[in-house]
Amino acid sequence: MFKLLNILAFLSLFSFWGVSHAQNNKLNFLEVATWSLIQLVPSPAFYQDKDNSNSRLQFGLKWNFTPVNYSFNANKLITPLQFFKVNPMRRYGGSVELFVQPEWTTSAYKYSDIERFSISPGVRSYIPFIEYGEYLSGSFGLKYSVRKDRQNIFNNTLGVELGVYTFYGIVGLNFTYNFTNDSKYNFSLNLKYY
Amino acid sequence: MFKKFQIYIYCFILISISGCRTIYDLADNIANNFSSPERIKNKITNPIKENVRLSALWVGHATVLIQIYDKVILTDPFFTNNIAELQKRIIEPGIDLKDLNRCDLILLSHPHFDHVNLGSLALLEDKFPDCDLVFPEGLEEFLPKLSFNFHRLKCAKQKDKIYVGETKEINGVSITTVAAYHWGGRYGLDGLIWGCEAFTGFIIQYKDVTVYFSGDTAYDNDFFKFLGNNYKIDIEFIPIGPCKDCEKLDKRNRHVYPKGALRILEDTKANLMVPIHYGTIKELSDPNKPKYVLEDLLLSKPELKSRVKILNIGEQIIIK
Repeated sequence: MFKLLNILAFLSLFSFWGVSHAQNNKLNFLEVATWSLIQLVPSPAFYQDKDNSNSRLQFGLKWNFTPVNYSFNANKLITPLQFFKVNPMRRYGGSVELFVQPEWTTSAYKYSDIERFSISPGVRSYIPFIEYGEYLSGSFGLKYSVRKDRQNIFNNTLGVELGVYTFYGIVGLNFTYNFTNDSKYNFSLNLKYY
Repeated sequence: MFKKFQIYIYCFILISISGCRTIYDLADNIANNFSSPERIKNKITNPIKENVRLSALWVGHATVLIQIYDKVILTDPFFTNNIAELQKRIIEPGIDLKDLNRCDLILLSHPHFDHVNLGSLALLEDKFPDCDLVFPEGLEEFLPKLSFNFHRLKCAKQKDKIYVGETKEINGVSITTVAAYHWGGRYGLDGLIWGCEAFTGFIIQYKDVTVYFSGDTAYDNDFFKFLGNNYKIDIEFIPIGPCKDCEKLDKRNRHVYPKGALRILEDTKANLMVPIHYGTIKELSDPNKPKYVLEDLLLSKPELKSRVKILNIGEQIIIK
């Protein structure tokens, strides 16, 4: 739990710093502070918990940070490149981004031989479907989950994910398939604001 | 396992819907989406006329098709069936886009969903790819890549009592950004907390005609008198809704109500005022309530009655 809090605090501070410095100078403290706080709102997720004979779903939470996003849909007056704080218009209107995703299950896995916490860097691309992605957009991505097993040995895995988003990207559904036998899939209700 | 799973789901749903107005509106509108907007009978099929000095056709909400001589201007175009997925159109647009064969300028007053409707911009882009798109500084953050010619104008600084932002001649038409008392942003916090101040009113001047499109605005004691003293306005388009307490003057930094709209008319000394921004989309209160209140107010102010033209959606007024 402390590990998770430490990482979230670090990512929040890093995001806070990143937004403050990487974007333009118009940003004020209130803006950066409220945005950083909003990023701490988790997305509820379910993770497959299995061994050779049993399988169940384990509830968990995940967060999503975007160090950099490049939009294919930016008009000529704005930059296509954004750091941390990404305008939904540019993200869901068609973009590619690098992300960091801490994930944490609310209790230990019963069957899978993995720890509760993982952190997944990855790359994700958004495709607009309706109203430049504001009403409906989709995503596909690749992530690399860094996590340990119960013997404290790294048991990293690659995963592919698909997502659909609505309400300007605030709400979405995300499904991930992991190339491992410990937890083959997870799905989440994505909550993201900017 | 399933029991636990169900408990999680139910808890999440309960937390989500409790006190969340959006969910109620969404549920209501999902039901409404199965019905079509009310049809307009005898829609005008030739909205652009020859030899017209000034005409205005109310398409609905804040969308007005203005013709000044040979120039055709659209304000805050909204031609789709809903706003932000939540607010459904209750009456169809006053014109069919297929009947619109010319558009020189599109004015966007601020980035709110009911004023920057991306679906409508896409429809217009298909039809008029080289049209000039005019908007206040900061609104570009909420615009996708479009083929229009972008014209970003500086906003007035109403807090400092600087009521004029910038004047630019675009396609032969002089466009001036003037103060508005509203709020910017598109997704909520960007306007409410993060300080997006991309909102404006427009003064449109071409040949001997001056038109004032206020965008969304509340009332201000000094600004509208400033307009009246500096511009000879032929026609102005003032929002009168949505309003819950329609008898009040306005809601501070939000919208002017019918009483405030009449006060604006008095201050600006415009020849004619057309109320807009009501009766088009589903609201929490009766969408046409602002109109009824305005009609009542006009009974007690007969001197203003000849200077107010309440248009039906799809109705066009031609001014010689």
